[in-house]
Amino acid sequence: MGNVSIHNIKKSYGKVEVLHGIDIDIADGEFVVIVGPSGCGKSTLLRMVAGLEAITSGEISIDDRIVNEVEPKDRNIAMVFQNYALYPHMSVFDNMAYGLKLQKIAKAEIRARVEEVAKTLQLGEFLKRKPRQLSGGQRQRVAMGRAIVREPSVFLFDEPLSNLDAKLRVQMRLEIKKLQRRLGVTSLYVTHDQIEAMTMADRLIVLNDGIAEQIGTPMELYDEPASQFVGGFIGSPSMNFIAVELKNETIHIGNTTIPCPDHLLYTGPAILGVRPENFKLPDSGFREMNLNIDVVEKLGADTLVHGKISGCVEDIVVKLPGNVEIENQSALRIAVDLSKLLLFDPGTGRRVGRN
Amino acid sequence: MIENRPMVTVFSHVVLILGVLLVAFPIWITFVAASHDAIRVTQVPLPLWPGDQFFINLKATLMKGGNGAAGRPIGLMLMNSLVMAMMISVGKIAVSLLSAFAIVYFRFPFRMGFFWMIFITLMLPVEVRILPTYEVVAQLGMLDTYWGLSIPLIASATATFMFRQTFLTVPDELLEAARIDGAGPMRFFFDILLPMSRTNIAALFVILFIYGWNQYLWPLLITTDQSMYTVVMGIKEMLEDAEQTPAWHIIMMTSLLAMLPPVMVVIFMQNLFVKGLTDTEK
Ligand SMILES: Nc1ncnc2c1ncn2[C@@H]1O[C@H](COP(=O)(O)OP(=O)(O)O)[C@@H](O)[C@H]1O
Ligand SMILES: [Mg+2]
Repeated sequence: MGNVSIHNIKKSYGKVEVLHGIDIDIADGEFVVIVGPSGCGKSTLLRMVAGLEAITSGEISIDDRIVNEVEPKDRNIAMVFQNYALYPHMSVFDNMAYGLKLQKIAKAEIRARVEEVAKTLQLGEFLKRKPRQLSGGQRQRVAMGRAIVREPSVFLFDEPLSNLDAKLRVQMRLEIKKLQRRLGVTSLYVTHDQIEAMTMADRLIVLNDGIAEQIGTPMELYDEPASQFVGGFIGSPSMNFIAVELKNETIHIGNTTIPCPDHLLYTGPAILGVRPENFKLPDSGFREMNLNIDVVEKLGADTLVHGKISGCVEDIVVKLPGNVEIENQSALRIAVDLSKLLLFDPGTGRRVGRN
Repeated sequence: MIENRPMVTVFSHVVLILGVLLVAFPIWITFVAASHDAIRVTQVPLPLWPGDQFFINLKATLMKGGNGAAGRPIGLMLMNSLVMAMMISVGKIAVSLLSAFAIVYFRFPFRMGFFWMIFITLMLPVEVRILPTYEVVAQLGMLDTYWGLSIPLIASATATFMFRQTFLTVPDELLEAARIDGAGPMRFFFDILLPMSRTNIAALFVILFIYGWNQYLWPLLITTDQSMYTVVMGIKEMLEDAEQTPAWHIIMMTSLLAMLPPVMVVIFMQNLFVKGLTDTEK
């Protein structure tokens, strides 16, 4: 129960193919986040699972049943929309009860179910109000409530938090996560916000231009990105990419040379990926280089130093502890953690040199 | 807009008051004339203040009507007008709602063709197609019936367009949420679209009711049976009664009565009406 299997799903609008074959099996109770830049096909994929969009080719099954031709209402799913899509003329109670009424469930049971869900979402006192009399966060909870009362096997979320202000977003993403844990309902969650994706997901699908670049747990994607795209997309501030040349077991970065660590096996030009936090002030076990400073941002806990490694053209960001003292200096000696270096193919952007 | 220039305020008030006087004066004269007896109304100078005959005239108008051959009680005419105006406005709204629903939410062959066909009827009001329409109505045996009075006026491109615009502003997600909730097309129409359009429906009802009530040419053409006359025609008939001088006090009373239902519709639906014309909250 509650498992979703997406097999070689493609979608075309006319002649334009926007999804090029997506495969993933989602276990019962799993929280899977579809993340990617705007326009990459996240909503399209989710809406195909919901049955709101026709499937061009491939197969989707929910609860071990192929649902390609099944109406949305019979797929045992519930969906939360970005703009909430609450019925504006109905009270909060009626909004949540509408689906149950259409299922011809007895009045008393509807009342009991709606009231219970309203209680867990702290909506009890708003049941008689119209959506327009609620704040953004409350509307969001009503939309959640409408999904929960249906007791579906799968929740589908399409950027449900993107209309909230930053503070509420952080609070709601925690609430949704807790709620999902408690209810144990399989969830498919779409977002373009990588922090939301990282914090909520059991597993992530990184979508880029209709292709699943990588599927895995947040830490897998963070530590072992399969492509330059995933590396750059996951993590904040994002990964630095520097064009380098590898020969004779050394890496040439600008006019610096560092030994090639054991886990990298590659020769020729490549793109070196280094996360900002894998730089440090010079220390043993690290290799030093010269950083020409452009801007220093003091964030309190951290210091972000923007600049270029001497001899390189790429702007990079280095994350240092908040207490480092950088006084009006134009350059800085920094070291890099060799064990965390990643290499990507300059042409395809795929990971290379994994030993 | 907040302005703080006294001259502008005074000036705009003067203009508005003049406007109100201009519109209200003829109505006042009508009212005054309706409250005097037959002789006083025909003497110059015309009275400017109400007399004491109002209720006597009212009774005479409702029971007896005008002078001579055209003298018929007004009650039945009011009834006819009311039925015609209601049939036209309710019919127009029902047909337009359904056609707008079809055009916006369904994909069917020649959808745009139908859309343009409806659009073109904007150029064909009753006055333009009056002869062929008369022919059709006559062939269908609908002369001197309520159907004949109302059906040719029911088709309405304007109302269809208005509802089309309203439906287009309803977010797609609402339809999708309803589909997931298990609502079929007609359920969606009745449970969600209709209630969401109710202010527009009210506004349109007011406009169409007045449009229907004020119809003159068409009822004149297709009714020969006096029991089907509408009140607007009735006033004209009273004026043209050849043998006698027009009974101005009765005619004015009839005019007053004829004005009453549209005014009441506007008053009672004012709230919804204004909302329907200005509301953007969806
Ligand atoms: N109804 C449609 N007709 C044509 N193209 C569409 C339609 N819906 C979406 N697309 C295209 O499909 C791509 C993916 O859209 P979408 O899934 O909405 O992206 P997002 O990842 O931002 O949710 C976009 O390039 C968009 O232009
Ligand atoms: Mg989207």
